[in-house]
Amino acid sequence: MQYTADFLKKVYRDLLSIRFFEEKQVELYAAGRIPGHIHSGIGEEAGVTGVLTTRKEGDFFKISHRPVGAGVIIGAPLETMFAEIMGRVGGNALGMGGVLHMTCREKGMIGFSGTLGCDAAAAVGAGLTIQMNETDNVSYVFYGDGTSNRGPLHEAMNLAAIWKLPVLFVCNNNQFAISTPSSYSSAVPNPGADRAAAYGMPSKTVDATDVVAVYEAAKELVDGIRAGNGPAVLECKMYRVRGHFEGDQAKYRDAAVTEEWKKKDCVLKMEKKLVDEGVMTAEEIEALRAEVLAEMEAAIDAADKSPEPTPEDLYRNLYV
Amino acid sequence: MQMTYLQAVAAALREEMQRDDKIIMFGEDIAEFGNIFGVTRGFLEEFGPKRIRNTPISETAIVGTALGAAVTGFRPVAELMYADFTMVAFTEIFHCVSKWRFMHGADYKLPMVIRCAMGSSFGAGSEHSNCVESLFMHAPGLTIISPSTPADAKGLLKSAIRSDNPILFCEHKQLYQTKGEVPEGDYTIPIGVADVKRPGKDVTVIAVGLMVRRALEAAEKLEKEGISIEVIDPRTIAPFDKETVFESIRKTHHAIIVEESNKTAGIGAELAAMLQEEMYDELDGPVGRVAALDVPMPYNITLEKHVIPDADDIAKAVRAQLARSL
Amino acid sequence: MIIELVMPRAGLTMVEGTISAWLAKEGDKVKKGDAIMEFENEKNTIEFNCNDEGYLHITAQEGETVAVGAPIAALASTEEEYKTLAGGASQPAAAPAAVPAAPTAPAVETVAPATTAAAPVAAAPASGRVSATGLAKKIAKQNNVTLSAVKGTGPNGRIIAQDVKDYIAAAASAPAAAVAAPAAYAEDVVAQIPLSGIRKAIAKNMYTSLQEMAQCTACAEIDVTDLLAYRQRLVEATGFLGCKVTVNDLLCMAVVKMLKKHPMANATFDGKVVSQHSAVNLSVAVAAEAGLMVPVVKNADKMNLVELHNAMKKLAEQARDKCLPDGSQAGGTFTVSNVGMFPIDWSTPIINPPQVAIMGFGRSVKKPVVVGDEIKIRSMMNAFLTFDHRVFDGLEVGRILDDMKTLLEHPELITL
Repeated sequence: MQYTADFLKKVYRDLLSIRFFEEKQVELYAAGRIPGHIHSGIGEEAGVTGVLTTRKEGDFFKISHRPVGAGVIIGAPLETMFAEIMGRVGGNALGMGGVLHMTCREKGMIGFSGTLGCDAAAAVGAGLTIQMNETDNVSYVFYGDGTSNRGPLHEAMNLAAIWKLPVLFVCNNNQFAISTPSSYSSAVPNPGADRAAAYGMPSKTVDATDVVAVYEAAKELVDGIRAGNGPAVLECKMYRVRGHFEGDQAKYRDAAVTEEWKKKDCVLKMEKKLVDEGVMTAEEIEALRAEVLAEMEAAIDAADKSPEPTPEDLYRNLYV
Repeated sequence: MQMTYLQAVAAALREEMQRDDKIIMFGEDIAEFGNIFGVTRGFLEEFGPKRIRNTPISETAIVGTALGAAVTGFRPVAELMYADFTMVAFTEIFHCVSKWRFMHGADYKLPMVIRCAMGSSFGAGSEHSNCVESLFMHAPGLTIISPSTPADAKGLLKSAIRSDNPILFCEHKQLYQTKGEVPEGDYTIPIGVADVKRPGKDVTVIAVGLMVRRALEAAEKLEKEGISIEVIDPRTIAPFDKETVFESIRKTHHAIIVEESNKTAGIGAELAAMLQEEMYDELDGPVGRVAALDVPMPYNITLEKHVIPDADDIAKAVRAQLARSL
Repeated sequence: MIIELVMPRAGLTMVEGTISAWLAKEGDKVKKGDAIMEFENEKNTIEFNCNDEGYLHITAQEGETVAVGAPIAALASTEEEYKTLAGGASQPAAAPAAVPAAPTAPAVETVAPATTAAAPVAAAPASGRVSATGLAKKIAKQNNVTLSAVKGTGPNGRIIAQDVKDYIAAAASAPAAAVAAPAAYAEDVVAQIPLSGIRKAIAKNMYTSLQEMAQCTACAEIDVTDLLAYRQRLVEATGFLGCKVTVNDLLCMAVVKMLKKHPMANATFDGKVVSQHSAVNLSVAVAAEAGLMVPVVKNADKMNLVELHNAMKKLAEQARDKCLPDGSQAGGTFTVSNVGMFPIDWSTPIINPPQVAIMGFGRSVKKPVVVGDEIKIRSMMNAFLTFDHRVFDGLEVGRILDDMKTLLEHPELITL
């Protein structure tokens, strides 16, 4: 398929934005500026970027904990996202929700759940809204190979399927649920795609180190959903480069395999493609990298100026 | 007009669905079958299959889907059939529904109602007889309503459907066929406001659901002995209307909480603790609790009766409050 | 529940007590604090105050001498239990219902609500902590009522609001009592107790006595082993005598004998003239809850031991019951104060004006005593005399105590 330079540049910019967002989280966490824990999605950016390139106005999104930077390309304000992660009152939830709940309702992000899988049905509910409103929008659900074994996900898939709701289930298979390999926890090689048949859904798997390939696979499924064919499953094959949480040394797996996957990094791959195809020069890439990084840093500085929430803030969003 | 509690619930649902087409309903066996208790009989015909939907046996999906639809602009009324099944979707109710707005921000309104049928009902056994309010009182952000009369059921369900907060609406199975006077036309009853079902001066009896009727029976018995009890139905369990109860205790100086669920860690446990903290100087004796025995609900009907408080149990507790060692 | 009542220990040396009278009858419902029995030890007649409540079943009869700690009666919590306990007509408790009562139903039977309590139970449990409800405390604080003064009628003797209200109402109708005064601190509850009439009179007398006289006390230790043995023989003759002679009776009789020999002590003094009296009108100090009473046994010197016993017993009862006839405390010529029921060896009693002396007796204690050149166990007791040094001197006091020693060590002289 042929793409315009602008399209490829836009995809690359989105990819970079998530990458830098994820890297900045790691930095802030190491500097002790983030409470709790974070789950870096470095290396997994192409999955969400490729899928979200198919989005349009009015779609809904249920992202997952990895990479949370997905919110950046959906349009959640960077400053708000960083403020939420840093536990400041300028965050979307006044710093009460944190990294697992930074979101933007206005852009169609419905929120997500720290108890993985319990939110899949929420995306199905958003799909129900789309069906009730009779538009051709899609509700995107991102989940991982670990969550693919949770019951609520399957209840949600089944309900979406019988009601033919416009939902795209995206299984970002990074091969690990904390320390448990997907090859151990699922009896099928593709814990996302292989199970779609049980609910009568079409599915695809895709190499998620290639953002354009992900886009193409997603587009095929999303076009069917927008045409009213009901839900589908896309399984993105990727690798979790870092540990489950910062500080996890991932001793439970073969470091040589990790190094192999690092060589297949989705950002490097896209940069090579852009240069090879003459879309961007190395200098232009450097300039864009500097530009996106500057955006992140400006947002962090702004978020850092946001005060800590007060005890009164605890009650502000409890009841309407 | 006279109608049953079940008719009142159905009338509230029907009138609200007629009023606002953003209201949709789904749950197990609510469409053609019209709900296992008959609440939604005729709804499918009136509102069509888009707004009245059966679901598979998938409680987590029922609750989660309601959440997603609520966040994105609809006003779902999800039905979980037996209140006991709320436990299947406990995480969805406790973590997701209750906390969603707190965790995500003020834009996240959840105008959704989870309806369930609770309580003992003549041999339903350990897994189909539970009253679940106390389990969910531990979930700040959730509104819990437990009406005891047809009029309250209708007025409160309408308020619940119109509310932008997520609500667990507990209907009592034994009350479905009880009749009562229900106001004509469209009316609502405010959430979070208790109702004095019978004024009195000696002891404040706070009763919930079916126990309101039992407390009123006890009041009749006690009146013959010269004891006057004030029966308060909180109606909304959370957020709790403290002030109405406090006002009553400032008059009676004695309080007893009557509930149908197990005594340990029940509604009474929370209210008794709250009352001793906040009303110590007004209480002329310990706060009493009348509740079900701490056993699973037995299937045997004689024992089921024995486990659940009746009017005599309540009357005894009242007399004990007033007893003096002469 | 059955509670056993035992002969209490009333005094250091008491090993047994004799039941002189049951004040409560078999089967009576008695309450905590009720005086249900009178008993005697070697020195005193003492009331037995019940510490619990229930239906009384008497197991030791009047006249029986019972060792300290041995059972004298039992209390049954319920009438059924009492019947079982008392009757041999052992009626079983009502058969339990087929289904046990719900645990939510407390085991309290119908009791009418908030009416005034006839005979309230003391609120303070053994720990000394006052149990009261929050509301009762609030009302008490608002009205400056000291809770320890209020009798609790709630469950477990807890003070409830009505008890405080009753207390306030009673205080209002008795203007002399419980005048409100500001409490200093919430933690430190100061009980401000205005002096009652009796207390006021005692205060005035005592103060005046010490201000206006030159009082001096002397003490002599006396071997009362023989006296106690003598008294025991008289107790054995209770049937013949028609009364049970107490040690106190003998002590008072000895004082009367002594006074006949020392008229200087059987006197009154107005500051100018000492009036010696031919008759011994013996003032006897009686410790009543309301305050010290000193009723007078008129013409004690005309009485034999039994007559003296009866006269003193009657006056003591009247004093404790606060029904002494007017004038009963006037006209005394000498006072006896026996503190032997307490672990007191000696004191310095204050003279009861216008009298000029007062004789006190401490407890009797077994001690190692040198008799001849041997150490023997003897019962020893102090006799102590406070006298008005303006009226007579140590010489007279020495002779008085010497005579007391003679009388008490040769008890047959007392009744000669």
